[in-house]
Formats: sequence, C-alpha cells, structure tokens
Amino acid sequence: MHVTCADRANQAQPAFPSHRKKTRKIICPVLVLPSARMRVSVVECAGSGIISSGEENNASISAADTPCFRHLARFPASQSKPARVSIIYSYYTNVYTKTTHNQEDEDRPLSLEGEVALDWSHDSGPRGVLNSGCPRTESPEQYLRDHRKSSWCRAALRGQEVRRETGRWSIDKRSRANDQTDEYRFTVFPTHPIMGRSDLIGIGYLGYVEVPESDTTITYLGAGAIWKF
Amino acid sequence: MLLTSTKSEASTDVDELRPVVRFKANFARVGSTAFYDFFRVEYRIQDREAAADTEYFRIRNRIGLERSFGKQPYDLKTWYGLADIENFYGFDRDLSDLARLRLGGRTDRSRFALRHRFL
Repeated sequence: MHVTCADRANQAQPAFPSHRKKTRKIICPVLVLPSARMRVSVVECAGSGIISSGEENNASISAADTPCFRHLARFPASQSKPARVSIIYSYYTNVYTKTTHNQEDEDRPLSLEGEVALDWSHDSGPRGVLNSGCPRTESPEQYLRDHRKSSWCRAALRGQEVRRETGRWSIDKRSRANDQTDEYRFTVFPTHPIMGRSDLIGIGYLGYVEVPESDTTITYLGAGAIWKF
Repeated sequence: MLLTSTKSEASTDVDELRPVVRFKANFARVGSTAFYDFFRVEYRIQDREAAADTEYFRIRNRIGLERSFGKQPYDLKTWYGLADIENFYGFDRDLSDLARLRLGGRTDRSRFALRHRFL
C-alpha cells in the first residue's frame, strides 16, 4: 500500500517491493497512485464537525492521548467511512396580532417565527481524532505499517476513543463522545419594529436543543436589532 | 448577542457568549427568483467547566435563493422554493467546514426545509 504524501521522497515507490530472487519471471508491480488525495483536504479534517451537532471533544485528556489520525485520510476510499449526512426538518410559523393604537385599528405585525428541526446523522466517522493539536507519536509510514489493521485503529474509525495508558494503546468501548447523534431543535424568533420604524427591527432568539443519546441540552437566548438600509 | 448554555453528560458543560454581526445582501431578482448572501461573523467566548476556556472567531456565509411559485409574490399563500448553502470557517482550528445544503419551501407563514450536511 502506497502512502500518498507530497513531501515524502518515496511517494512514487511501488506498493510492494519487487522480489530480489529472480527465480522466475515476475510481473513488475503496478505503481499504485493515491486515489484518495482529496480526502486529506481541510474539508475532511473538519470532520470533527462543529456546525450544529453537539460539542466537539476538546477535553485535554483526549488532546494529549489521542493519536493523530491524519494518516487515515490517506487510506483508500474503501477503508473509510462515508461522509456524514445530516437531515434537518424545519418548520416556521408566524403569528399576527391586531392591536389598537391611537384609537385607530391597525395591523401591527408581531411576528413570531418558530423552528422545529430534526438533525439526524447515520455515521460517526473519525470525528474528534483529527485534532490538529494531537501529538505525532509515530511517522505516517510507521503508523500504516504497524497499526493499519489493528483493533484500535478500527475502533477509532468507529469513533471510539483510543487512549495510551502505561505505554499501551487501549480502547474505551463505552466512549462515543465524537459520534454524531440525533438532534432536536426548537427555536422561536420574535421580531417587532423598534419605535415604529420599518427600517429598524428588534429581534429575539430563544432556542432549545436536545441530544438524547449524549444527554446534552443546549439553550439559546439572544437579542439584537436589524437595520435595513 | 447570544447566550448559550450546553449541559452534557458526555462532555464538559459550556457556557457561551456569542456576539454576532450579520450582513444580508439581497441581489437583483431574476424573474421570480431572488438571490441573497447572508454573512455572519461570530466571536465565540466559551467558558468550559472542566477544560480550558476558548475564544475565537467564526465566519459563516450562506448563499441562497428563493423562487416564488405563485402568481402574486409576497401573498400570504404564495409558495416559495428555497435553496441555500452555508460554509463555516473557525479560526480556532484554522479549518473550514463545508457545508450545509438546504432545500425547502415556504409560505409567508410557514416554512419547511430539508438540510443535507456534507460533513
């Protein structure tokens, strides 16, 4: 298996060394060029995902003891997980109220906008282990040679935490801290013109997010103003 | 200005103060389709209970369109088709997250959307 890396001198080396004993005619091994070059991009490194689903694992113990899996990005596509997919269903609704102001009936739009979102993901991927700050305890070549098919490597691909304790790597089978999970989100955006001006609108933000699998709840409270110009 | 509180059994609790500045530019309509760009700059000040606190900027940019399907745009019963894609860039890890693609429809009073996240 050849490791793609532009800064390595052996990049163009064949995947398997040819036999030295030429007792019979041996077909020259085909040069295996990397087919997953794009998987080392920042897009994949962003697989730890902080868009909307849960808190990334920034615990100091993980940052210190989790091996850097940047090398995994150079595996062929068959060695990897598919990209995570999140599906979010959103629903908004507005409420209008009719108020009396200066003895004149007018429709004053008090807009209450609500959102119910379901964020679902079916794949964990190697999230969190792509920490840029994790120490490089091995060279990529050593990593691929020794641990490509090891159990902790596969565990890391499943999103389980891998720790080094007393010089040995161990798998925390209970850990799913880096998994993507279902997310239920409810958000309300009340808006109202400020001082009757149509170009200045006050906006509120109240949100609640529930992630049952990780027992995580997130509450949002916000306020602001919109100036149209 | 946003205040968020994250309570988690699996990781550390996080309280966050997030000032946000948003810019939305509506471009010229093409037929019944309106295009816009929604740009946000967030400064995330995170107070972590069992880890080091963090402060960093994050940039979000959403490019989208809305297409009306009714005969009278902006009518309450007019349906709109929505499509947008949003990119995130966090300065804490110097990484870019691509991206969320959202498709859906809305009226003036309701909105349904389906989002697909690439990562």
